[in-house]
Amino acid sequence: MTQISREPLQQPTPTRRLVAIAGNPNSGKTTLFNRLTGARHKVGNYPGVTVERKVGLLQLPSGETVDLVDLPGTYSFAARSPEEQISHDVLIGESAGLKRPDLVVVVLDASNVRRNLYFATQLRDMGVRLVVALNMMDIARERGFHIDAQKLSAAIGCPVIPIVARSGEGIDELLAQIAVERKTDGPAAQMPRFIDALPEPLEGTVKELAEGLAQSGLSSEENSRAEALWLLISTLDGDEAIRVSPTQTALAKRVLDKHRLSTTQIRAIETSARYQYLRNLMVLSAAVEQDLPHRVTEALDRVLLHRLIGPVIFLGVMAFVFQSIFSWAEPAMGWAENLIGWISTSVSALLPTGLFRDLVIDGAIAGAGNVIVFLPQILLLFLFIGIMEDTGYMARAAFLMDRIMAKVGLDGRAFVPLLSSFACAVPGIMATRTIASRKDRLVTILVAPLMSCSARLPVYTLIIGTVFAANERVWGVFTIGGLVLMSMYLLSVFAGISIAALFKKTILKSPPPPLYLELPTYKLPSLQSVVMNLVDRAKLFLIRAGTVILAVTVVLWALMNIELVPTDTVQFDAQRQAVVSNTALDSDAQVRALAEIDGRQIALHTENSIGGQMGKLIEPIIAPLGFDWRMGIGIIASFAAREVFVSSLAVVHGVQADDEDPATLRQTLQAATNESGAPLYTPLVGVALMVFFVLACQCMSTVAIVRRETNSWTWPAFMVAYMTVLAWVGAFAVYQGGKLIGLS
Amino acid sequence: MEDKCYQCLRCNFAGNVEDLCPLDSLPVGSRCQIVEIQDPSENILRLMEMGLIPGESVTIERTAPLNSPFSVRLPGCTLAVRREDARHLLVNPLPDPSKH
Repeated sequence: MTQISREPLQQPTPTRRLVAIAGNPNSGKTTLFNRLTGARHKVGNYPGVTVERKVGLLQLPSGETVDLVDLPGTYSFAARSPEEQISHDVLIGESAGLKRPDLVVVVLDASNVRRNLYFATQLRDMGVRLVVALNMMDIARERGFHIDAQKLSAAIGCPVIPIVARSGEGIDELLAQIAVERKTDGPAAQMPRFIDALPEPLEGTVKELAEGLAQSGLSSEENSRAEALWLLISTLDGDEAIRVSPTQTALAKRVLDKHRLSTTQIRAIETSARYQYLRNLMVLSAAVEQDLPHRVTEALDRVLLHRLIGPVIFLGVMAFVFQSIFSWAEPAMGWAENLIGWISTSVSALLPTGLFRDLVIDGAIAGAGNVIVFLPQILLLFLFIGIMEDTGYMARAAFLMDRIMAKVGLDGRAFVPLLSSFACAVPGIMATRTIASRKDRLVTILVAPLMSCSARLPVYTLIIGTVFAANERVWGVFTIGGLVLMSMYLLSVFAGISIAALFKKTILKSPPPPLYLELPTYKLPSLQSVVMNLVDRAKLFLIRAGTVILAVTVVLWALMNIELVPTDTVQFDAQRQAVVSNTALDSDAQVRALAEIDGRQIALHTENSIGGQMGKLIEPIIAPLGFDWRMGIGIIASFAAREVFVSSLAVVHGVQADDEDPATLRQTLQAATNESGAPLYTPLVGVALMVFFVLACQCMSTVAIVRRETNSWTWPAFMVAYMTVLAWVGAFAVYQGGKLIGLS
Repeated sequence: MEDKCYQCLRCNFAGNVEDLCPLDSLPVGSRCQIVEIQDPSENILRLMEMGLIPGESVTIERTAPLNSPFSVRLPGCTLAVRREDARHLLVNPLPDPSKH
């Protein structure tokens, strides 16, 4: 279960007032939240769900400090997803850890008042104390949208303050309004609440359900009508069904049946009726909707959404993002590794030799290093995503990609996460946050590790170099190595698409991803927002995923270093003695001979470790794939990170640890034989091994991040299970199939 | 759809019923008024919440490279509508405002 943040300063307390910020997506809500709270906010999860919760501290000019909670952006109060349900629960005070908000600041896009007021009037129906912030006034003026804030305020009976969150215009007045603690109601509003003057058939159904709710004590008397309407237009069935008591669901369904209305009908009726109401409200507020085009947006879209140029530019942008994560992160990763190396050496000098020192250096510090090494990639990816989202380009990307992604059954916003996963699945999976539907997001998370990541490359390179004449040219321009590599990537894409389609048809069955996409006007990114988002993401990764990665590193270190079967060191010492006393050898030959003895001892030590014995244990299972126990050890050890496979294989075959020349390992592997004397690493075995690595989840960091993003251990466990099975089947098919047709 | 819901999915339309056509049949750049919504799916209900309701006048701005979705401009915002959803929106084409 999630914990509320433990830092006392930012934990909502009953004594501080709680102010909620709500509004449509693209209304500038987040910019306002960031402006008001600055760095004093914390990101966590609402208990039991994967919805992110952002709570911060706002210092009012009056000296009072209030808690500010940023509710998920939504177009309507009707709950058809966990996000929307959370909004409702928070507003009626039924969200764990938060009391009922004392005030709700609803942020409206002033260029789009009618649509934004749709949500605001729903909030007003719920009886919450409202302050309306009319945001992005600058753009509204430019586009010829005018509304009289005073008249609107008089009409709905709440303060309406024009602001420009980005520049700070109007913020002081907004803060002044927030500071006012209204104990009594202000002057009566000119327009009654929508909920108080419903047309038929809404009135009949709402009234009846409201009575039922109030009588059963499921809702307070004053809020029963609003609750009733909310129930009627929310999803009562299926997987995205709202979590309310069965009594409430039953009551709602009974009322609908009695009036012979389906949920679809009642939703359509409510929407139409509310827009009718809003039409009147707009008249009362002297609203003018000139709708002059936003020139910058028009000009940019003519290029960025052009039928030919648009996709080309998009691919270019994607290639740029991908390239940067792939290669630009490297120098920073190098610095991180150097830093860790320096720390290791320093600590190493301080501690006495022995198991404890090894634990600290190779377990804890290496583990911390494994965590930090991801930060450059994560920061880079989220920098680009942040800029694309803030400017409005991300919506254009989703627009261009929708048809292709929908055909595969994936959400359009799955494209960036999946593409990033070709560099590294860890930031890619973090980026699935923007996918609205819970199931679509899960499918994307589950297939992201199938995208062949950069950590697999050392494995491919080693195997291709060992079992193939990698540089031999084929068809003029290709090399064998290049072709094999490309086929691994194609397999990866094919597997991803197939598995995604399979999941969507079976366990994560859901309708084709919906498209609720608005193309907002282009805006300059807010540096503050982007940077703060980066800091948030980094913190979340370090704390939530980092701890798991560190723990698993230590466990794996223990597995590979604690002997299950004691190694007889005496025989090795005797051999060393023999070398030293052999006067026929010159000093160079002696050094090499001693190093070779060291290599064999380490290999035996590894074989005798728990991990090594596990490798032998699983040998019968992986033998049908053409693998032996040494590869088994490699597979177990590489759960830490795929590239560890290379070093494990080196160790197990007795190659010295400080031998940097890749040719040595390759030659050793080529010469390796199994019991009957046949070569161990044949082309067929090589391909089977690579296929195994394409499909298997050899990455504890991925498991850790999936745990963080899904807020449970079920999905990471499932992911490891299905991918292991898939990898086994794939390698089996390749090896046995190859043998059947006469390959070896 | 039953009668009680019919009025919420249709606006007052004085013209000829034969003039109505589905949104996806109009070329890019057309301006039209939404008259009736047939058989609303979840997508369409959501689009309605975002402002795509009977009586609203919209402009078809452009289509995506693979012919779906469209971007449809309403006063104040631009929404993406898939071709299969656009089929359910019956519209009355409006004469093009004169361009300079």
